[in-house]
Amino acid sequence: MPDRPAARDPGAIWRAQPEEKLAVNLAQIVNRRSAELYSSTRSEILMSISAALLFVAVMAWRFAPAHDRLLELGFAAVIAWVAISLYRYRHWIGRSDRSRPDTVAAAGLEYYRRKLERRRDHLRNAWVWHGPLFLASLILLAVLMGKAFPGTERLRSVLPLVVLLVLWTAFGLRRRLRQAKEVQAEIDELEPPATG
Amino acid sequence: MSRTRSTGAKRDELYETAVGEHGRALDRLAAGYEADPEKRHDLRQDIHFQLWRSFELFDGRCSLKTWTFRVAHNTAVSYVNRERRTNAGLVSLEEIERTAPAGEPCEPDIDRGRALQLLGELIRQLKPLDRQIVISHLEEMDAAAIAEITGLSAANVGMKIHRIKNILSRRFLEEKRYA
Repeated sequence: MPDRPAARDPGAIWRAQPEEKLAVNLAQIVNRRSAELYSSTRSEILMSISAALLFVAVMAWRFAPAHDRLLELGFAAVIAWVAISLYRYRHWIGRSDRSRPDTVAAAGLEYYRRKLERRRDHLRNAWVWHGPLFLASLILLAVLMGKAFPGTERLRSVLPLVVLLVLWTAFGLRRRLRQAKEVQAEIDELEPPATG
Repeated sequence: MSRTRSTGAKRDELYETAVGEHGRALDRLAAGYEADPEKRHDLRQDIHFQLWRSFELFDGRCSLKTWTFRVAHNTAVSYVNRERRTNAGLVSLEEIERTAPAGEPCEPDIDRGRALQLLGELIRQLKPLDRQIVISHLEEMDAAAIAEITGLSAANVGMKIHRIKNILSRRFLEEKRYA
């Protein structure tokens, strides 16, 4: 028999809505959040590295005929920086986060806190990731301002790009340091204050 | 003003208590913000996580219920803002009251499922603050309790509740005419 008088009390209808099928599990949430932290850090690293390498590749191709020693050394330094960073932080890049669910459940809060700390450290290491691109743009600027390319025509054509990269780096650094502060605040919230 | 912070064990205990007492209401609250079951589950998870975290800072200056619903609503409002970068498309209670003519009630022989669906649609088209008030009202909270959750004055909440009752009676109580 249909429950006809249903519409008479909206509050009762609202409160009598069927239970959600999926239960909420705090350990699962912590696990998912940890995975998200890992994933965003990893993609940020890959993006920074790719941007630096792309920039170097385009510039090397563009200025290949110039055979400028400073330019070549500069780009070599950028590539070395990228390679060392990649090696040092390879655990972030080449491997997925393989923590077992039972470990996560057991560790719970502690596990999440460790992930937050790693995320904070990554954000605080902003120079490691923004440095190569910044260095590359500075080298390019230095070269173009020097005697390698007489005249100001070429300098003028590249200057907007260099300025853009410097601004992008400054913005990125600021954003990361702000995020690091937010993550630190979250870590502080997770740690009960010492008593006594 | 110093804030008394609870220890980790206390936080877990508060969380368990809050979920035990208001878990079902929190699920309904999420339903007022998201219709899609999968997205709603994500929102529920987010609400629970933020609630659990928030108890680190719970200082007992308001009731556990007020704290729980404040955190839940704030989390859900952030979710709404994230989902729709702007609040374009959402309307206020005043607009609904103004634009919906009295002759738009739901069907007289409406069943409970359909009524719930219509109620959900009505709530989800509201701007976040009005949504908080409607949901709280449907959860049988009085004006003072809603004022504590929303930060509005009790008089303002009372006025809004009056509007809500008007709108709901137009949409849902018209059946009485046919009964």
